[in-house]
Amino acid sequence: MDAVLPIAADPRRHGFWARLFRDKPLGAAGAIVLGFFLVCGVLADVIAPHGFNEIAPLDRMQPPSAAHWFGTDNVGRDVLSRCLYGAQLSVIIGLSAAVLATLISSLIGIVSGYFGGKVDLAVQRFVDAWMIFPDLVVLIVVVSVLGPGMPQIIGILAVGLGISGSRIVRSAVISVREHMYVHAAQSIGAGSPRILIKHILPNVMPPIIVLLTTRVGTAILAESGLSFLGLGVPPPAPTWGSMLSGSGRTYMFEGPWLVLAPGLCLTAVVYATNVFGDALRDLLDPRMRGSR
Amino acid sequence: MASLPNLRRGLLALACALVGAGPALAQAPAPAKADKPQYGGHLNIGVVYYTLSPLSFDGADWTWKFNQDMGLTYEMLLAADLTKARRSGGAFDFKADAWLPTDGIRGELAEKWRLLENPWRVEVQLRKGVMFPAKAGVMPARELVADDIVYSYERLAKSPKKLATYYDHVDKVEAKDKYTVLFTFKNYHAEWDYRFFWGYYGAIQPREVVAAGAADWKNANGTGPFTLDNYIQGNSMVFKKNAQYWDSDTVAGQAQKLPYVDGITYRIVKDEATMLTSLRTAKVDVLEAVRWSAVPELKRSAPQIQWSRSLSMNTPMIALRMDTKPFDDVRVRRALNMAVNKAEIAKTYWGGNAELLTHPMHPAWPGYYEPLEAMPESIKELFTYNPAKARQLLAEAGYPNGFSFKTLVNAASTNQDMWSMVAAYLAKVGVKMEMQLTEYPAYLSAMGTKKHPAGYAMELGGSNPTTSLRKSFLTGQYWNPSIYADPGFDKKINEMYAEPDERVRQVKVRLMNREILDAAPMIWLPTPYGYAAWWPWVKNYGGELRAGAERPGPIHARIWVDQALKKKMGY
Repeated sequence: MDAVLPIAADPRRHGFWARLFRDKPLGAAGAIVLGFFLVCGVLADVIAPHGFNEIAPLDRMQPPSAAHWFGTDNVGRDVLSRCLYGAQLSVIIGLSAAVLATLISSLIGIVSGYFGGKVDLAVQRFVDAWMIFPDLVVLIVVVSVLGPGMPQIIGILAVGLGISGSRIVRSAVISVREHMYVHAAQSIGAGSPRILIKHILPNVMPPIIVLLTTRVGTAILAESGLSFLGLGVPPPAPTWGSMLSGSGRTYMFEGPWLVLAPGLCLTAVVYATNVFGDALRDLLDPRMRGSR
Repeated sequence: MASLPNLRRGLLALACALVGAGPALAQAPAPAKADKPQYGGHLNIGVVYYTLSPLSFDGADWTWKFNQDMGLTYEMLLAADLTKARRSGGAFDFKADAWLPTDGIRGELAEKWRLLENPWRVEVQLRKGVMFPAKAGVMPARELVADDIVYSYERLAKSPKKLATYYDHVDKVEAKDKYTVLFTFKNYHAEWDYRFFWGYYGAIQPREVVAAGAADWKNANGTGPFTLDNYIQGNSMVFKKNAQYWDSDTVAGQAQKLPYVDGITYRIVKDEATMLTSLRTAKVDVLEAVRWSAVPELKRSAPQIQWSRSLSMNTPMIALRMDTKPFDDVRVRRALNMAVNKAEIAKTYWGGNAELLTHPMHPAWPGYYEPLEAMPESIKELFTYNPAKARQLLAEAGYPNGFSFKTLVNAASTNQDMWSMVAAYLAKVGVKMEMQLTEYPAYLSAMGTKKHPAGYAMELGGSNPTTSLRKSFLTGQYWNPSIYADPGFDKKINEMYAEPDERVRQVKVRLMNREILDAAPMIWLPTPYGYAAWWPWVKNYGGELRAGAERPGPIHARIWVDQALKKKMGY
């Protein structure tokens, strides 16, 4: 009977999460924070002690207490509940816009970078023209025309971030397309779609993943900026940006908790996405495998 | 070394600060002993609607904000008699948005005028020697003549943007000679003076400006005390002194040529907190609109600031489209009024700084206004929180489980939380109000074209007693977001306008107001108090806001700056 020999554990085969926690503790902390807000957002309807527009005017401007952990706002709404529902909106907007933006970036970047020549020239001049306009200005114009609302905001954030982000993917593709294995694939007659999907895409995934994670934070911040300007998701739906700009700013001297709560949530999520993104890049980049 | 008067003023300001004179200053200022005016300096002002940029520079565009923006440059036939302001010992505070009491009016471009009968007509004698200043590329300097009045009237009357029926009472306007204009009416009209002489529409723009392009701010040129020197959208309007200005101010029996300051900047700031900081740091000298909630902090951080408090002319409300289900049913409209705890909004959201008014009338209009206490029960109950009866009415109307509707909200409104409160109250009786935010021009256009959804949230200014009924409740009017349309009521409005006896007119208006309230075309909300604030170096000013219809220009033209005091206070 043949002996069954144990296969030596390949350190590179360790689970992703194990490597994340072992090699990138800061990134792991970011993942935990993100996961926490994700859960809060998904379960906001269940865990929020009050509705997001459940007013109790006689209990207005109550400081944090056992009854209201984050206090109440100027019309007596529970700030904790609004932060939780704000997480829901922020998570939906941030993730949706980031995923769509990354898809757009990948599509434009891979096509433009791989084919080069006139295609690249035309696409990049369009990208140049787009990038001339400050993102916030484009956002304000489009939202002013279409009106505020979550689908509009997700759509315009995705397009805006997607087009500008395509530059990063394109530069990675230009580098990868010159590698020997790509030339080898071309020489044996592989078609462009196969080369793009099988050889180019996997090798530009690290920057794409980093792009995705940073875009989550950027989208949440952009939405907050729009809400701060009164062009975000219409009230009474709470977003962290609108909480900051509305009663938060008006009553920041009388009730500093009104700005602290959404401000800290926003800061935590954006910081967490950034450190998690850094960790992902390090873990997923084939060139950095084995390094800490 | 500071002069003694300046030292005295400085000590006075310091004393005010030390004793915490804030509460006392919240009252209307007592008549002050007139100081000798000083010339020079520059004023920075946040006007009542400081978040909004001008809507147009052409009076024929019929935009309500034209007078506020261009009232320093374009003049009218009549204006407020500011010598009768309360701070000067007079009877009027001149805060109403478009209401000048008959004995609080003076001739501006008109030197004298008289109302004549058979037929009803007004003969206006213009001031002589009033000049349009020279404007390169637009016009040379020339005198204002009667033809300018006729031209301005006809341009307004022929504008495609004209308010429907606005000049239906006018038969003809003629220049009888160089300085005499005759307005002949088809019938008596109670608003004959408001509609062209001092109201929203009637600024005198010369034909040369129109030929050059009146919509372009660079071509603006009027007889007023200031000329528009620069305009940056969303930022500022900069005016400079018109050295040829004709008017003067009488101080201690001596005529003082106007204007006093070299320039005025109207600051346009979208963000309330930024504007409040500008006031606190004296980047603006006068701020005409300060929300009650900001006042205590400002009084703590800048105790020298002077204050004036008044009940806002704008009543927040949500208009309900009466041509749209379910608001075509009066029971639904009344139910929604009962479902909102208005007293609680006044007490909490406004911190007690608000009143429940019998809108569209306003206490600023004595003789026309009846307080809530004087109203019949059917009206009082609309202002009393009664969710049980609201549910009952909704059930009777066929909506036992409530319904949903959309409400258009101005994105620049500073009262988003109040609209959210209304949504929360309505939710308690099963009615879901979805708020749709949009930028102000689109928001306004939606009402004008009647493409707005079933609800329309606004802070509606009534202008004056008769206009408040006409503009929002006469069939087909622009400012009628409820789409109120009742031929019987239209007839009453026309009869009221044709009534020359003001006492009889007042009775008619009071009865019509009750009729409107009973029909509940709007969810009426509490009317807040507002504050005007200014620094102590701003002189000849006591918080007056309007010298016509949304027209602060003549008030600002009479302000002078105590520059020594300003410097002494470190600014």
